[in-house]
Amino acid sequence: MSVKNRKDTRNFFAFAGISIVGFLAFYIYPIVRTIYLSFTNTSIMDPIHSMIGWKNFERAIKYDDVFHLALKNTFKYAIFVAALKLLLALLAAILLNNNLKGIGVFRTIFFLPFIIPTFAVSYVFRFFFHPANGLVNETLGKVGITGIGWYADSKTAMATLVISSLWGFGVPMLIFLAALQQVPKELYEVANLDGASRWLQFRVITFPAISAVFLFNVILSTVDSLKSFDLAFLMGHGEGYPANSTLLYSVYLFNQAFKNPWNLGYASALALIFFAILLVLTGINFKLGKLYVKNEN
Amino acid sequence: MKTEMNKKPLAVKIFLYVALISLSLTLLLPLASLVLTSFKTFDESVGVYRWIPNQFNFNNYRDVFALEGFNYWGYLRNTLTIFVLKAIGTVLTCTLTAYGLVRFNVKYRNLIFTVLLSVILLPGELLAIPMYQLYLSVGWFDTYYPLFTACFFGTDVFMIFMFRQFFMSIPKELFEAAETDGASEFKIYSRILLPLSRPAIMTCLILYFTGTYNDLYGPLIYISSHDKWTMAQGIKSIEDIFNLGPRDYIVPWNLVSAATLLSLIPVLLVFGFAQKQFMDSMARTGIKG
Repeated sequence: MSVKNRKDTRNFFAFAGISIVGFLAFYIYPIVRTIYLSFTNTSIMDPIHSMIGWKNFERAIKYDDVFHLALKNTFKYAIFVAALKLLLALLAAILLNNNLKGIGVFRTIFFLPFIIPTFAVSYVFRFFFHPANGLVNETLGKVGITGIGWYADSKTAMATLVISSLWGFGVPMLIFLAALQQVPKELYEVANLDGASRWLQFRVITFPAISAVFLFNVILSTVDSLKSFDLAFLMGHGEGYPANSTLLYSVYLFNQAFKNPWNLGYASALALIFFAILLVLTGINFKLGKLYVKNEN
Repeated sequence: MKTEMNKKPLAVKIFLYVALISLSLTLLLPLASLVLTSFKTFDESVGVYRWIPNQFNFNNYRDVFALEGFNYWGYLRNTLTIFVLKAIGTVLTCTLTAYGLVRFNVKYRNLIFTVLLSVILLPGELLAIPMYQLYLSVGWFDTYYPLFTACFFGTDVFMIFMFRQFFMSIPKELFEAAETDGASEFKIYSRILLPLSRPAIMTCLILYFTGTYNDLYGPLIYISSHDKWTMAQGIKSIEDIFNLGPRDYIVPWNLVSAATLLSLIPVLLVFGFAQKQFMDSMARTGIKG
């Protein structure tokens, strides 16, 4: 090893060493420990714990009805939120990608809901959809439609949660907008001369050009909506109110881990199952992406 | 569609404006409803919905500050404290690591970077349980340590990634010239690199501010004393102060909306002052908190 190399190595660890230590302490240690805990019946209330093999996984998959319900709710929520959010984001981005006066104001308005903290979003929509005091039911009443229970009725609570979650589509919108602005304008001019319809232009020019970004957004939205916690926790009062109808997986996991009786072992197994699901779904998204992503390189 | 502004046919322009305005109004409607309600009286706010209050008054805003069990300035101070600690830790350690990764050519450098970056995929739940156990066992429950300690160990790999990208755009010759002049590596880092990195540091601060302000999970798990609550906890719990009846039935929307709107002010201020950088930062990361 040359002197320069040795000096570089020493300097490298002097500068980046802190992250290597952090990586071991805050990532490797907890992962290993979570795997270990998932095979135990650890809880905070009961300091004596023992290895119970695969029992936690068995309990979740075979016997725990709430686990199955939470999983089902999460899939339902994630599919609708991810799909509708992407659609909204793409539509908004296409609208914003026009050279019009005042377009910057609209971009700010479209982005605004995203910066509103979730703890505020929850009140915004709980008031908006309030069965007795809210704007929506009152407006429906004016046109002769009887209002519904929205988040207070277990039949409609999930739909209300989905609608409320769509408000903040600002980030995928900005990502789409940046991609749209990269598409060469000449392509559209040629297509216009040829008399191609807008839909055809979108299919042949726009979508192929932004397909890689589309896949990126699909993966991001899928993972984000599956991991969603805050809004469901707030609107469901931490328990999937009413009647577990908005109980998402992350909320159930939270309640198992951090509420009485603090079932850390069982919650660890739930976390691992969740991670496996995320990995599989991300893999499927990549595979599906191969069907539509046009690689330009 | 992509031709010059003046070449767009009038019909297309009108269609676009109609679409832009309708979407804007739809998005602003729920917020406008909350803003107007913050000026209503209690009776108006829990009665049949009316758009415009009988009389605009700021009493609710005054009353929120006087409300027992709600401490706006305390929540703000606590949230800012956590933000400052997290931001200092991350800016300090992640710039160090990123500099190390960019500047020194060591074996397996790219492998080390890829391994560090791979943890971006891990869901937080996978890490939270053992850390919870650990922090409890060292007596850190109801303190801010669990919320910021990891930041002082350069664990935000996304920020490492961002700083690394930024450092790579700085011409190498700058470092080499300083090295020839006999500057130590630490001096190059602190005197040359950091001052040049203001835009990247700003991005980090904006993301950390909104992330910390939004964070509910961490405070919910670790912070229990009321005087240590963050804004997220304070606003979340404001409806419990009144406890007027069955769940979700009677909420004093006049006070709740005033408090909620007050809680938006810090975020809106940051957004107002750094709007372009704010949107750029968010677009680059795709994360909220």
